[in-house]
Amino acid sequence: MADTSLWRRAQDLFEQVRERSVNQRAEFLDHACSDDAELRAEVESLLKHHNDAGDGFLRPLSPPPTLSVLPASSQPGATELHEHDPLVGQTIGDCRIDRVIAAGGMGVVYLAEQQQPRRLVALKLLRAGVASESSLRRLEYEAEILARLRHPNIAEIHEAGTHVGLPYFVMEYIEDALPITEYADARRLSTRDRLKLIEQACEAVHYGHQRGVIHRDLKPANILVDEAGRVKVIDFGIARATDADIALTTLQTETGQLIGTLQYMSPEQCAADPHEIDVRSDVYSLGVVLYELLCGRLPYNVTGATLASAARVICEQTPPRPSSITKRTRSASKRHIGTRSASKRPCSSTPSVSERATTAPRSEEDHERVEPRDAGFPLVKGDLERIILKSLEKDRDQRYQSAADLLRDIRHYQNREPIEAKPPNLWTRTLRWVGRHPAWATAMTCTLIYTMSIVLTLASVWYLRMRPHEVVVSPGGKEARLLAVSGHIISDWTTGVGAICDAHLVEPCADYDGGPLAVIGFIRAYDTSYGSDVCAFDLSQNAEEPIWRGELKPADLPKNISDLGYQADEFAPGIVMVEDFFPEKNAGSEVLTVHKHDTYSHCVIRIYDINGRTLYEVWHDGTVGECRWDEKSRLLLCNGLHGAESWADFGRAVEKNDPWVIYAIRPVFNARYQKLLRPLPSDGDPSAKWYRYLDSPNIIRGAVKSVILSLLPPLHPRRGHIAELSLQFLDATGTNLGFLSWAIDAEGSEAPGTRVPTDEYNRNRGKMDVGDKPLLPDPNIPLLLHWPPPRVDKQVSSD
Amino acid sequence: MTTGDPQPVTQLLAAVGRGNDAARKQLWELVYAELRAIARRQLAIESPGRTLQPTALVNEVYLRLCGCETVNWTDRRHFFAFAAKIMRQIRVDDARRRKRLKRGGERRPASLDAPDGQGRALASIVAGLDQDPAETLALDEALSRLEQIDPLKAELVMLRFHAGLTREQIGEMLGIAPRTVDKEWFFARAWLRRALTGE
Repeated sequence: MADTSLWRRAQDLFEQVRERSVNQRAEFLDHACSDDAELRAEVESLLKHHNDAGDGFLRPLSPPPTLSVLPASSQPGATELHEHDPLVGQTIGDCRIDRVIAAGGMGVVYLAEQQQPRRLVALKLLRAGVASESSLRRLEYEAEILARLRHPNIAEIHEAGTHVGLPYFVMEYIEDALPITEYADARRLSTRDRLKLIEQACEAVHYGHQRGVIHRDLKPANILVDEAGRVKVIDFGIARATDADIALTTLQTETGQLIGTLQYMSPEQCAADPHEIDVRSDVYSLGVVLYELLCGRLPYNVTGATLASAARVICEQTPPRPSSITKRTRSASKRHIGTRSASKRPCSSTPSVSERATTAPRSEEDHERVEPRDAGFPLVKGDLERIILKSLEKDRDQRYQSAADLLRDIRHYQNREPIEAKPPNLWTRTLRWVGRHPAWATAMTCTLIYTMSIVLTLASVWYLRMRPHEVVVSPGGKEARLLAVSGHIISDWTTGVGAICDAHLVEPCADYDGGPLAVIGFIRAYDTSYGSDVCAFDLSQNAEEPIWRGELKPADLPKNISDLGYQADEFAPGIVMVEDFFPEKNAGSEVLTVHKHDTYSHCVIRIYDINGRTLYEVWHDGTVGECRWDEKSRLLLCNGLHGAESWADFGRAVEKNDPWVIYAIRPVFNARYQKLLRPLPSDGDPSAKWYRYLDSPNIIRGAVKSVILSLLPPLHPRRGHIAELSLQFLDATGTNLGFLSWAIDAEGSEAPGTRVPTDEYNRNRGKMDVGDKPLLPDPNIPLLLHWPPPRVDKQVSSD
Repeated sequence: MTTGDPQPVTQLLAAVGRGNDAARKQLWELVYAELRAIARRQLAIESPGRTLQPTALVNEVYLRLCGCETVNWTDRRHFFAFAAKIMRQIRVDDARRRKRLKRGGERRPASLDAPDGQGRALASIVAGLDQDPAETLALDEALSRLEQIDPLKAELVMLRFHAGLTREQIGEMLGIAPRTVDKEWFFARAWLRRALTGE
């Protein structure tokens, strides 16, 4: 034996003889060792022991040696052993074994004939032995429960028992059945028909669940469809009954085979904790089958992966959305399915999963026939996609809570009714992503916070120091400053001669794509290029050069104005105002300016849009001291002195005072009136909405030598007041005698009960009243009168 | 020492691969301790009839010691070769112990606290240890002889019989085709059987 050359020759010969059939062996040996009796004796002795050893000797995973009748799955020549299976022809229970249907990791399935009642059955003999009394009782107990599962879509278990210590199950034999996926592909079923198959499977699984049995190993090979198109779920609860739970069977079976099974296992099953498995694990497996059935591929491609990495993929990866599976990826995965199935062939050297048990024996041709999958799977999207993805949720609580729930949604879909599955919202998807990539999430969050803090700091610095906040005019009007929030001067405009009347900031709007504008009214600033114009500066560009000017050219003067001898350059801006005058017709705010004549009372009111286009223009014989825009009534209120000439026209010389007037204009979009405003609505365009004057002759008397009327925002706009008026009484030296204020409504009428005198007024009343006639504040005597004032006789007025 | 930091195990495996005897002894103790821990736990929660398949057991030990994330095939290969030897040793120890008990004429109940209890407890959960102790010891002896004639075959037998690996796994581990694994296996099996029956 120590002779190495004999050892090697014996081994070579042994191998050659072993590969030959029994009746060829002697002849071959005669030929091969014609002259070497020692070699022949050695080989023959070893061959004898090889034959005697059978499968039981040194059998790994060691069931008791006497019971080693089953071919090991990993044994080469397993097919050979199928044919010579020692149990063929024998009787187990009251079943006579006819032939082997399939063999696999868990055991062997035989076609057998039962005697009582006489029928064909599938007999599954498990590989793992029952080691103890308690396990045996457990098996009997579970088998009893399984035998009570009576459902048209569940292959019935007739009987269970043990044969020389190995558990066996006698089951309903389903002739010519195919796994659900192969059946559907072979018959090229439509999506609708495929769903009908799954509906049957759901019914069966739910029925089992209601009786407390979880299948635990749902996969196409265990969901068979018979010739009549009826689904038969097989092996219900077998894994549990025999204690051959996934966690253990997985490790002892072939990696390739396990991967095949693993594909359909829920994440909690992959985590290999049998206590965590519940009905929702079956829902998951149904979801995988549904996915494969409709998409033509499995949700995860774990071919060639190690066990641990495959399990990790299932526990962590999000399956590709069915709608993302194009024909191209589908045909690629077709190959993948092909290899997977090939590795499952019972006859190939790689053993088959072959829990498909009760099918007819599957030859190579069978495979070739069903293998080519039609790439014409319709795209799975929308509700159907949501149903699939909901059953495949990693978190059991997010899944359908039972097979019945899944079934209900499939039926809703079939009936075109709204389904219950909702797409995961962005938040859920984000959380999942974070769960899968905690390191990335942390890094990204940190980076985000860091970046944001820098951005925020820079932004606040910019905001505080650089963002234009307001334009203020210095006292004396020699300078206009653009200020940031912090008071930082961003830029300024000065004039040595003349003055700056007013300045405002205009925020850009849809009609303007530049930065904010500073609108500044220059009065005879002849030392600059701005002159007597309203200049708009774009603050995002060069703040020195105005982008437009509101100026009065000689041609702009109406004829009757120029006839009076007025020149264009005698007008200068007095008021600049920014409001949204035409909310419906023009985007953003508009700029209102009032150009006043330097000596006389004529003026022009203009409204410009943000690009400097004139939207409204009207001329008026009278000064405008104050303007107020009332948004609600859309009225522009103007307060000032009426033109002396017009006043004189009415034959009233009102001592040294021109009359105070207050009037309301409703600006008209795109109306440029190059004529004077008419005080009465009936005068024709352009006319004021209303026009009132202060009853000066009745007020200026006694110690009162002059009055000043002011226009203020209303104190109670909700009561319909559009402005608060304030009248100051002055004596001959200009000393204040007191104030009287009241509110006006949208018609210019005094609002009742709003007239309030100040304490000073009350103290000085005696000086102001004439005789026994206490004039003010008598609410019955109106302060504002309707225009025009009554004509007065010349004689009366002359004294 | 049994669980926790996976690094020492990986390092030990590498050292064992380089032929470091101290590392071998240390790893042996580590793995044996872990096997005992598993046995104790299994006995505590499972019915006594429950058995662990060797591959499952070795896998569990491996994952426990090396950590799930660091499954490195080179390490795993070393580990399985190593584990096969341990499983063989467990069988032999168990057989010797039982033979001794038989000679003593009495069967003491397996107890976790008894000095011999741990080994027995382990044996009771590892499938296939119920063999005739004499047969186990004879096999061990025959295997030792085979080791001297053809170390590859002896190693293959240990991987297959003691560690329960499949032909593909063994092929990958030893760097030979599955067909060659079969060839070697059948011959070794026939040879061992003949050695055992003494013909």
